Amino acid sequence: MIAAVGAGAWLATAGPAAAAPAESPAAIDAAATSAPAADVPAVEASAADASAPGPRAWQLRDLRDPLPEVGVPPPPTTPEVFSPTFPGAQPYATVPRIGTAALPLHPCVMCHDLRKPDPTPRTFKVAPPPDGAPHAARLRHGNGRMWCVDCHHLTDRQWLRTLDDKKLSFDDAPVQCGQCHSARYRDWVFGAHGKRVEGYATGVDRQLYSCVHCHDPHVPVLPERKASPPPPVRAGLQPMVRAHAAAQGHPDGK
Amino acid sequence: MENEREPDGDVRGDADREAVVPEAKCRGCASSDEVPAARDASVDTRRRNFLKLGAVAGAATASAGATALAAGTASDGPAWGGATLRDAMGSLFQDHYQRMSKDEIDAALARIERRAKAKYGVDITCGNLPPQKGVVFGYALNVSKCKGYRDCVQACIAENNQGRDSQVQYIRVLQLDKGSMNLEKSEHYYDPASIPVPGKLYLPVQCQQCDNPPCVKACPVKATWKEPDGVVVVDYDWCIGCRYCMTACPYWARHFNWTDPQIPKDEINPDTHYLGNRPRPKGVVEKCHFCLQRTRAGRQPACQEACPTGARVFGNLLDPNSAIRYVLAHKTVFRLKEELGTEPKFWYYTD
Repeated sequence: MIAAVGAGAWLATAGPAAAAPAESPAAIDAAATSAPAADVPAVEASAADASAPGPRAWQLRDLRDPLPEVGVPPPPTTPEVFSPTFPGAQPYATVPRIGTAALPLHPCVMCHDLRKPDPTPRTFKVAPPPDGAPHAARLRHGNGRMWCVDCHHLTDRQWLRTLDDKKLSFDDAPVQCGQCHSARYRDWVFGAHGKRVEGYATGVDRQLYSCVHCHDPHVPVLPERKASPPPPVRAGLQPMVRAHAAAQGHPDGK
Repeated sequence: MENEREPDGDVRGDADREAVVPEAKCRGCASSDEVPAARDASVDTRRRNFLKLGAVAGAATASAGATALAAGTASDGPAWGGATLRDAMGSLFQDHYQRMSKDEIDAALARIERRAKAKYGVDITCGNLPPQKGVVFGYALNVSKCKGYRDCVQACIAENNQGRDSQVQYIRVLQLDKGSMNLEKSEHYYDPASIPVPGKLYLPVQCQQCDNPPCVKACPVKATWKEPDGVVVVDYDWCIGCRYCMTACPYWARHFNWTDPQIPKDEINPDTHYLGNRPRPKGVVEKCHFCLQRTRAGRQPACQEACPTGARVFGNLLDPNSAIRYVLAHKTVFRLKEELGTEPKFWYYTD
């Protein structure tokens, strides 16, 4: 309780005053160890004496006071529009997937027009292929926070869906991913994440592999697998690290 | 001989050429009988040309015996490695890459192609793409993304015509404990059932293409140098295999070719470069060259293309809009053994 009041006092001091943050942790410690709640203003006053003479531009707020009225923020004058690229980024195209082997079942409406759209989250009861559905019904993305219609358009199954309910082509999947994974998306556009096809030069056609080229959007973590074979050891020699590690008694040495 | 060498100039003048080249490569032939006669014939030709002349004259007299010699040593394979006498002599007198004229380089490239045809039965094209203007190559590798699959290593072997059974692998992927950077405790030969292993960090190490390369300083015959696009290359025909550069390199990026490269005929990459992935002889030092045959043509290196996690970023350091410049400006980057002052052009980053 005492520590909480002290922390509250410190938070309230955080403002335009420059000297306050350096002094305040000490004040918190003092309040937490010895001073009762009633002493908080005194501790604050001593900190103010030590920092600088003269009036200060801010007021310490007592946590027992009711919160000031903030009100509803006004709507933004220019609504933020999610853009497929960033200022300063080189133009790019995404490797198409529609019409390729990557999306073999693509005209989704061929099956899903026959089924009534149902937005309620529920447990998948479809058997995995080849017994049941032609594609695996699984969703391990976002720790259970997501459901199909967060990304797929509910009524027009041919499209993905943005958060503001616009239709998005399957080839523009990175735009959809970028709505949540904005930092990764930015890195992808600038080339620090993901892969580019063929060349490295700027100012020429830049083609990027889509997010879903590497990540299964329903199970985005890359699956574990076996590595390519280790380097061979020349005849008559031991793998140098294991021999060295064994001599050192390292647990990895076998 | 040592004091005739310029301190850092890779291309020597004509005066040096006359003095140095025969000493280094042609001592055995200089004592052949034909040389004095040839010297009398044309006084003002350079000594190198005398030797060539003498060799051709000698070849003319010995050509009758040559076939007999080739037949007589059938158990060791044909004489001159199956090459014609002209090719054998051409290889013997081949100059340093940086001193060859265009005709001499063309002849050398044609010899390389013929040698590959004789050895592997494959028609390769050996090119000599020069460095591009305004390009210095740099590489960045995302340590957070690398999972140690070693796909880059396999792609490098295939692209660069490395012997399948030899230990020459330009990329080593080190497995380290997370939070440690002790390369001496690293594991090269990890082979678990599935990776990544929890608690492990994977650090691929290849040639760092130092801007201040210690290997170049160590080479006693100047067979290795830094190209204008920043790539440290080796003239595999000039290397004498002394392996001083391997000792000098702090990154274990240079590898000695102990065996004649054994490559299945259908796996040979026919698109080669003189300084890059052409089939190399036994007994020379090899290294990563950022896939010159690809990158000088505007493509990405094979390791970048093969990486399944997108951890590798390659680009032009002089281009402010390039992906690598974005990484260097926006990510936490480090270089391996930076304290040695080798100025690598290979960065590791995390995100």
